[in-house]
Amino acid sequence: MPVLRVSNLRVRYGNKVAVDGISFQVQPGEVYGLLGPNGAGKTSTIKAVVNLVDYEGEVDLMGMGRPRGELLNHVGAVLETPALLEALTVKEFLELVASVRGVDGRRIEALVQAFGLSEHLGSYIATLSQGNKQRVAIVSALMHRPRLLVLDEPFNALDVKSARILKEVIQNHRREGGAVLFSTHVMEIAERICDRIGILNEGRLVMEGTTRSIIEQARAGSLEEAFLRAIHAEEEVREIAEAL
Amino acid sequence: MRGGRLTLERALAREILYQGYTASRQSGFGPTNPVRSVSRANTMKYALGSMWLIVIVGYSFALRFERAAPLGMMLIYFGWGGLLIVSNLLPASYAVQGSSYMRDALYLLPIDEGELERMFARAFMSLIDYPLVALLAGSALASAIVGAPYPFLGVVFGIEVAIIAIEATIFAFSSASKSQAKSYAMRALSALLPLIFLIFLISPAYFAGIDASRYAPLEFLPLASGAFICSPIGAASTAIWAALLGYYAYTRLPSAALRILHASSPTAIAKRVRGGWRIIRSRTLAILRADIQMSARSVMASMLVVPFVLFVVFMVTTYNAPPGVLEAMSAYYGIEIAYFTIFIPYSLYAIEVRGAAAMRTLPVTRVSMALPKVLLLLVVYYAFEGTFSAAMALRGVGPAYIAPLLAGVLAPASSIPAAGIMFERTLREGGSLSTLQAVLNFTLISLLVGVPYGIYYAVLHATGSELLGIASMVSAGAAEFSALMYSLSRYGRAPAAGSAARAPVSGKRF
Repeated sequence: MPVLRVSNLRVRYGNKVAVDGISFQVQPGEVYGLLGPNGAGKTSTIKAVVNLVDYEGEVDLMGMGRPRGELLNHVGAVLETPALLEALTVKEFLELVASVRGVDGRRIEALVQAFGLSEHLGSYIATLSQGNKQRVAIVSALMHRPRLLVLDEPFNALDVKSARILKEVIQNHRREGGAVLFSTHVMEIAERICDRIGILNEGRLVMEGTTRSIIEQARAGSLEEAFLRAIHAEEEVREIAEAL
Repeated sequence: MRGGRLTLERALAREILYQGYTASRQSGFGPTNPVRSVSRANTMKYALGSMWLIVIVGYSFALRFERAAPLGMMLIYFGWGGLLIVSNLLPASYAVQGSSYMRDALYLLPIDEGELERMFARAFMSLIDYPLVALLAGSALASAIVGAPYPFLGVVFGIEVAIIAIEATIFAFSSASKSQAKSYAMRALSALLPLIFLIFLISPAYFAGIDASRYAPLEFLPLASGAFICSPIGAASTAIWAALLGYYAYTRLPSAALRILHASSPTAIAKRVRGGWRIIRSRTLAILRADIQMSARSVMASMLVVPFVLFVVFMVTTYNAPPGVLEAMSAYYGIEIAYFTIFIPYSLYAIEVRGAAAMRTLPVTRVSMALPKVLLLLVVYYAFEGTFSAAMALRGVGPAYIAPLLAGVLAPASSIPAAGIMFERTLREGGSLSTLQAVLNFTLISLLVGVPYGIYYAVLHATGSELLGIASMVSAGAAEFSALMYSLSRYGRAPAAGSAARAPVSGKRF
């Protein structure tokens, strides 16, 4: 049974359709990457998966329905712009999350040290850099060992060391049978981490498969080339480059 | 700022509004709508200005009828003038603690610092252009109606003092911006600014009766001197004070406005914290702890002094009041205090908007988010009403008038699920509501809170039984609270694909 099953998902903001009827599944022990240009619908898909926006269609977690209420104890989410309670200090925020999730102090301590947050425990979240906010969000998403990790552009503001640690965490999570849904626009990261990739363009899933199968489907030499073909941007990029 | 060519000044004014009013409302849910947010702030400016125009002109008829004393009239109009200016400029002054986007963008343009200073001053003043016109025109009309210059003079002093107070606030914000703790404290203190002006409007009948003619030295003081405008010394003193305050406010404005250009978020100071992890096993208590921590650092903290201010105002204004009036005033102030407590859920939900996405990824329901707020409201309600009941008892008010206030807690408690539903709706709309919706929301909450009190008075009037009145009020409050809590738990619930109910989750390693 898939950890996550998304069927015919549609997300709208007023008249604008951000996600237009996409379907995909994430299996146990699998890292599924959502790739797409800006505005393709990656973030809206992720927000729908964690029930943050209204949507049509179906999002099913382990056959138990949409992730909400107690089911959210199976999910750990890091959003593109970490939305945290900014009037709290890092320690107060992590204590709140740990209390609500029923996690003990040793687990938080280990994660805080791994992601280099010990120095910032007394700082108000509002004063943190984007990278440090991202690390707080990652620690709060990992502390309860969720079955499904949902990560929206998680490497964006991270330094090299934290990015490496997160990659290791993702690999360990996969090895232990967990599932990961994550979005990125960095091809190298997708190529190295993902077992399967879904390419989104204008709200639609235009291609899906393993890195190799996508390259083969697009008859391309690399994932980047396949991606540009999938979103019909290859010609445009060439013309712009020549014009410049 | 509606229509017309978009000049740099207009763009700056919009940015100041956006930074001050809306930058802190990003929720992480849907995309925020800056156009709507700025438009809402502008609509508020025109709506409040028009409302004030009507009220201050209308008020002059009452003051004329009551034959209000000169100083009394000045104090009341000082309150009206100052309150409108502060209400418009205070939120914008928070932009000082905003981001450095404006500086980063403007410093890339070929504009010198002096020109920037003038542009910022003009942009800042454009935030109160219509309110200024409404106040000056309205108070001039009010002066014509009462046949004396006091309303106009009161408003002029109110405007000047309010602008100076806002400038001082901006300088204080600016100097406190390096420390987050100081910033929180400054915000809490600044939220008291409207209270300086509001205090003259809480009990206008009392202030209208203040007669200055017995205290001749007052003619040398700012504001009070206006009451002696018919004497040569009073007229000279008024002219000098008005000119001095106006000059001071005017000359400080460019440098105060420019502080917004140099806005910066408080910097992180890495400090080690002692002690282990304080994990609370009860979710309700964990959320309550976070709510208290956040509210102590918000403008809401300053609201805690309001009941004590009302306590003092009550003690002063009921001095020598005849028994019938005393009881009526007790009920009026008591219910007013109850109304103040409804700011608690509203403020807490507002604080949580920014981090709402983080909270929604936790296994907490809307009801479990609302319960800690109910607990907090209970504590604050009884602290407030307890203090006030003591004041009433000291003045000799009988228990029959105190009991309904102490039993009426469910009325303001209903505002929590109501605010929760509105909060959900706000998030669905990207963390920002239209002006009309915001006004409707608050009106609806006020009406909901008023229903149990209304039932109490209706039953008391119909039966004459105090006990029956209180029982009806408590029953109505309980019914309202339960119905709204149920609605909150069901709000926006779509049918699930599977059954979420069959998900006993350990939250531990899978």
